[in-house]
Amino acid sequence: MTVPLIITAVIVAAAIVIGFASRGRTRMDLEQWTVAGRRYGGLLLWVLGAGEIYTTFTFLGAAGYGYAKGGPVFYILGYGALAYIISFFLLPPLWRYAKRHGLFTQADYFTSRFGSRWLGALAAVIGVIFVVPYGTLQLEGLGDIVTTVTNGKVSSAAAMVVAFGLAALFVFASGLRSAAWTSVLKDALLIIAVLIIGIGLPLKYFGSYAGLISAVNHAHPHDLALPGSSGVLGVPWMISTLLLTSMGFYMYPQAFMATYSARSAKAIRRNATFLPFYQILLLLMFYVGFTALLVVPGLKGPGTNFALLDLVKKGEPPWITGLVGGAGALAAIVPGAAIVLAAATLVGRNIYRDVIRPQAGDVAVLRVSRGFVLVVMAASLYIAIASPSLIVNLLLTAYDGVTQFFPAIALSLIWRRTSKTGVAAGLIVGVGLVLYLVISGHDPIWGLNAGLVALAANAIVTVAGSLLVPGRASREVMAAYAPSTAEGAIPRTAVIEEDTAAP
Amino acid sequence: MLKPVAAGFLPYVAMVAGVPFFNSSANIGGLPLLGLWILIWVVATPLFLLAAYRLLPRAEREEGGQ
Repeated sequence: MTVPLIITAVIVAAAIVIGFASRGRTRMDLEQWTVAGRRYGGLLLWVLGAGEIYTTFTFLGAAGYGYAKGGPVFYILGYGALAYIISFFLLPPLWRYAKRHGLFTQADYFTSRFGSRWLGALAAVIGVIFVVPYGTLQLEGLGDIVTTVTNGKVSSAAAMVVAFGLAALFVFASGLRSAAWTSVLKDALLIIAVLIIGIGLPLKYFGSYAGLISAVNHAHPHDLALPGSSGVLGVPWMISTLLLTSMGFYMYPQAFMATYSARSAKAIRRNATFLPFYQILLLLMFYVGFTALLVVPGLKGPGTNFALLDLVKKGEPPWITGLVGGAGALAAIVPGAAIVLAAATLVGRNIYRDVIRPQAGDVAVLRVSRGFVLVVMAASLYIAIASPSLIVNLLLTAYDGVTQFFPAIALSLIWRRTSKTGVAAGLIVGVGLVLYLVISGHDPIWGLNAGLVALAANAIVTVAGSLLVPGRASREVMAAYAPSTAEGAIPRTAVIEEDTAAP
Repeated sequence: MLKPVAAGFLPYVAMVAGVPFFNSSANIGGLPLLGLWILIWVVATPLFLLAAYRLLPRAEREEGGQ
């Protein structure tokens, strides 16, 4: 099994070189490091978006979830497209606001829009709490991949430490650029790998997709519809999960921050329009999961994460195993890099500067954020090595948490009176409920995704709090969401007219 | 903004609202009916978003000089 090891290692090494080289001749200031100077359009914005979204979860998780649960897996096909619909309307005004106010992080938005450093710090703390499990997930995914493709010759812990140690260094050097440029390689390889195994393996064993589905239906009747093989993920769960995950999609601090790197609102909308096609690749991963269910049966619990890799090793030549291993490893490294960057910037800007040293300038914030890149990565490595667990469940916990930002952000765009009191109370109630329900094993609750129940409570509290203690965003604040024909150059009065015309 | 929002969210509402009615593992050309239902709306989403873009107010479309 040395061929897969060599190919995987070469692919990872290439990504690390690209990560360092992506800095180019740019002088790194805070704006370059965190949002790549807000210059991305077209391909780089697309791969950066796809790079963060289509992660090891996509790669191993989708196949493993299909293997373990059956029909409920189709939520993964749907939620991305629904999220892009929301983003088409939600992100352009946020991007304009961020550009006009010079924002770098998600928590910056809370600080600026609600005029409260403490609310920004609260948002930063919540962001870091939930983004670290998501980063850990990427690390574990990489460890699983490398161990499996090398038949255990390279330990999971060693692979994680080497790959993510180097990733932390290239993030330190190049910031968001490293995530965008490594993502170009990652997406190219991932698409090739998914096409090869997603078409090759089901056809090899079952002749056609129709043959595969018939065989699964025969062996596991009705498992490909809801509630699936676990028996608890029914129609209400599916609907509530689609709603929750489509709202939470861009609420991850790193995804929110990557949006700031866009060149224009139009580039964001074009991205939202065409990213749904990427979802179709996921369908191929489900087929691989269903194939594995029949060809390598009997995997349980966290073992289902290995469904795809076990099947690839069994059914494909070593060089394809290496390619899949390398692509899968990059699908962990790229989002891992973006997550660490986002978490470190949240700490540097919204906790260190906003709360501890308000007089700190951009240079100091950049220095502290870079230091925290190393700290956050070390913490993630520790968590990943100490306690492995089932990939999808971890993701759903993190997802439930970050989605709690949605009511505040959506309301703030359209309702001037959305207030810091309402938002802080809503966030605390929403996040508190998520932690309580998930940790005490009440997910799903009443057949619904627990995160959505918490989200409803959060929205009610946010609205009630804003009615009791209304915010008073000025007309100028609301005007920052509105378009202008020549970005930034439009006279103030014209911007205000736009605002009164908006809904 | 009502028209573009309505056009954009049509596939959203359709996909989610159809789940109870298309929840079946019946094999339709290589996909369970549930999967096919979701796939149809995923593939249709770009078309509806293109339509939504055309319905946006002029200022939203002609922004940034690009």
